[in-house]
Amino acid sequence: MYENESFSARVKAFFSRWGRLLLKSKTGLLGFIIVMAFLIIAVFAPQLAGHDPAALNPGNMTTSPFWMEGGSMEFPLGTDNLGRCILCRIMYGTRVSMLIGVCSVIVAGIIGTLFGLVAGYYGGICDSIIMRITDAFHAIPRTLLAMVLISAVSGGIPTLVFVIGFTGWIQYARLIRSEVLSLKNREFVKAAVTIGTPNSTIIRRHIIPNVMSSFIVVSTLAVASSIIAETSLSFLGLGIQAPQVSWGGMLSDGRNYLATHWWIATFPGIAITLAVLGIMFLGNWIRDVLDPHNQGLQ
Amino acid sequence: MTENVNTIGQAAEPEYLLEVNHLCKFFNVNKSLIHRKPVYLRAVDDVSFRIKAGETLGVVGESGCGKSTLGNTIIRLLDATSGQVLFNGKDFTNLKGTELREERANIQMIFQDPFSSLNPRMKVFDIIAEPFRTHHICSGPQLREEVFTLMDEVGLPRSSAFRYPHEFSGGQRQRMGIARALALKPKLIICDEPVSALDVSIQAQILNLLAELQKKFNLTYIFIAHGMPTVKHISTNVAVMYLGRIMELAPKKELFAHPMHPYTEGLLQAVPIPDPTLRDKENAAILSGDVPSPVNPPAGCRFCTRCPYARERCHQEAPELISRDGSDHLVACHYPLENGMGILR
Repeated sequence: MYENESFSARVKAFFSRWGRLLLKSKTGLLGFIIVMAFLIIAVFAPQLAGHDPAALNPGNMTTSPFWMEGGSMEFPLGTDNLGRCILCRIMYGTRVSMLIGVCSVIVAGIIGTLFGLVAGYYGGICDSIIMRITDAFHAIPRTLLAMVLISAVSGGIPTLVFVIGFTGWIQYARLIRSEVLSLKNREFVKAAVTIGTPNSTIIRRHIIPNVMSSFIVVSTLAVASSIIAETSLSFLGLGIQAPQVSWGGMLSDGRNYLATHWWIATFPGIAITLAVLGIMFLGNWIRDVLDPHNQGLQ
Repeated sequence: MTENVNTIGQAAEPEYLLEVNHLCKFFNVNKSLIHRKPVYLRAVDDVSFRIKAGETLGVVGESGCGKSTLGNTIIRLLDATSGQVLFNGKDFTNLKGTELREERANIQMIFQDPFSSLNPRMKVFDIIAEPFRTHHICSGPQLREEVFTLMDEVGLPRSSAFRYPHEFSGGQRQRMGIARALALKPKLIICDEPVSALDVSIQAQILNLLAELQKKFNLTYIFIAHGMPTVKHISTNVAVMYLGRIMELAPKKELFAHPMHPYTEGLLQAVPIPDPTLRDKENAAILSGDVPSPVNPPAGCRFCTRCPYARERCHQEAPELISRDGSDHLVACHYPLENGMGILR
């Protein structure tokens, strides 16, 4: 039962257990649905969108959403100042924003966790050096560093991922380090040492599983803040360049028309809010499920 | 300790399973960047003792006297500042790398807090199986058998194997810790206050279990405790520690019947007596005041600031831990209590 199971049986058991747990949690299910919806939109954007997101429609500039006067179902959420379909642009923007949000968190998470583990577990000189580097990073404004890097290299998605990830690893390093410091002195880690367990195994078996819950909480928040970071960089004109579309770019396009044509900036804003909310719900649920203390969820 | 040991048939085996010689553990408490001169906290200061296989050495003392540090230093959770630990005649203090990891199997530890000594994210089975997996002793059905045998041994139901530790009581969790410590078939187990976090009713169960296992597997214990009663229950010899030093070291019966150090006497008197008519009101509380800071211990005898019998010499000259009468009753005091003297029964 414990070690003799076939691989496919274990995969099946894994999915049936997580599916059951997901149906039990309302917020978890909601988060899962929102995130899945955005992922589907991102993948099938060309099939779902009725218009070319970059196509200009001089005849249909600033059309209202369909329920308002002058709106039509041809442009359900209206058009922007250049007559581009807002719904289609949001769909295409999902690709860029989700890609940047998730990838930059992966980059930041890997760098930060690695440094945090080393600093916290081995301590001493390693710890001092790594922590002084994070202090130095703290002293540099994130946007400024991003501006420098982007103007030095070119724009585009890989650069943005790198920049946002590279400026975001500090919070992981600090959090993981502090967690490891307290875990290291727990008696179960000492017990593992007296058993003769090598350090690498102790980190893998005892330290990492116990920092996972904080890691997930921070990661979900970080996906949200990366999407917003991309937004602010695009807003400054440093992010995604036309004809590519991102939610942040749409927000900045719409800001001049906020008083007269509110829908241009509002709908991408709602998309950002929904995506962030969904990711956070999903993250909180994963954290709860991973915690063995939550018997109600098991 | 006794010199007339029966060594017939044990010629190859060293006389003592564990020999601790002049072990010191100092911590530098000066963290200042500018004043680099180290300031040491002498947690364990020149401690020596020897244990024969199958015996139990009880170590008692107030909080902060260095008894846990002593245990951690022997087992190499901390590295000794100086001194030597001989295990089975082999130097354990300077082992490194793989050799150390392999030798560790012989010395295991049972921890004080059963709530922090088990990884909350591992199932009971995995916790007890960890030693086997680490040393690649067995796997698969054989591993299952080994783990279940250990669970039977410590009185855990087999049904608990695939549950998480937080579902169990303190006593049962302590049994899991004991099972894990037994897995590698160690010769010496250091018990760091294994019952002080448990309910009184459970304490007796765990102590009995430890005594049973000792008989069955011929284990040797170093039993660290802060109260006399638990030590009395399980020990062969008792060491009384104060401010990082051993004050008195004697066979259990000797120590409890004729304590020679005033500190031992104080600890014995601090034991609550349930029957009020048996209490000795006149001699209550010879132990007053607090333990001085181990960063700046008193000159001379460490106990002189709190000793009711301290004289001039005690404040100047530190007494050595020696036998007064050639017996195995060692005491570090210039003026040890004589039988029936002063306030003793």
